[in-house]
Amino acid sequence: MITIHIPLILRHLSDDAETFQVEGSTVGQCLEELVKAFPGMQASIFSKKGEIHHLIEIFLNSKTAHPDELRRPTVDGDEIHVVTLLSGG
Amino acid sequence: MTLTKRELQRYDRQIRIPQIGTEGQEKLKKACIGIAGAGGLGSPAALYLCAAGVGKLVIIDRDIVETGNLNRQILHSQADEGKPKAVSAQEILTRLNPDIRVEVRQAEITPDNTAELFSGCHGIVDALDSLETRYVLNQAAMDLGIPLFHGAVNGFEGQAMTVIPGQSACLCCLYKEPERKTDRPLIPVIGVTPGVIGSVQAAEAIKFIIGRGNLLTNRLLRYDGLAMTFHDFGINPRPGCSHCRSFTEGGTP
Repeated sequence: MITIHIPLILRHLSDDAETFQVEGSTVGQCLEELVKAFPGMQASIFSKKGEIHHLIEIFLNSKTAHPDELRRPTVDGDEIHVVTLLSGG
Repeated sequence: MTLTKRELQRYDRQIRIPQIGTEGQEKLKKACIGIAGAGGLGSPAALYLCAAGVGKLVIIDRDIVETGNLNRQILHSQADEGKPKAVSAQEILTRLNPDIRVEVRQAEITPDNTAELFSGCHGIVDALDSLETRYVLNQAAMDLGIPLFHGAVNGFEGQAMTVIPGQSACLCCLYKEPERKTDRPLIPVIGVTPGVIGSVQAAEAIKFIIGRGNLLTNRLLRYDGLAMTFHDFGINPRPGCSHCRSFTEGGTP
């Protein structure tokens, strides 16, 4: 299983779940599973073109997955952090 | 730059820290740090840099103190409502530590005035509330060749990262799209969040000045105040980044 960590800003879309366990062989497949479970996250994580939203950063095992985030291979035990970049001061 | 008797007394507890000592305190006295924004992040950052004895602070803010600022912007008080934030910031910081110089500018930060605003600064604290102006600040740090101590908040969440031009990923490497216009919605925030992140930014500036410790370079520190966790993530300089182009095109970041 792969663990997806959901940022605080999006937890109102995940019933307050901090993490979600999925199976998938790429980051893209894992995020698809997340969005299937919580459809409200689609517009927050992905652009209309289906790419990662420009204010979202995806980290795989605490390292940036950019570029080509969605194609990064994943294996059992991996951790994906979905991070919303902040702008308030 | 020798420390006076009063300064030796004032800073005694931090001079006792082996990584600071008298030598580090003298470096702090000689330093000048620019603080872009005297709001939620700028308040704790300015207060701690002032209290630590950074010799000169340059604070830039164009806004007026409003009642709605006071849940988090601890440089200002109810009696300051209607005053320029730059003025109330200067008043409280001068009262806190009259041995340092506090210069303030009530100005909007634009690509045309950054060289003048931050002239003589050894680093800039990013305490802004707008992505667009952050890009301007990031470019200014690149042009001036001085570090940018980034921070940002939303609700109970915060983040910090330090940018050393020519050595580490910049804000544009992280945010990727400097050209995009952004709205400026009212971002929800509880004061303790910028309290935490502004203090991290001040700590980064102090560490840079004294030349000790590991900076948050190529690392994004995230704080979740509800889970009460800190996590740092690896960031890479982005080839083709329009801000630190010369660095990334130069070869091996």
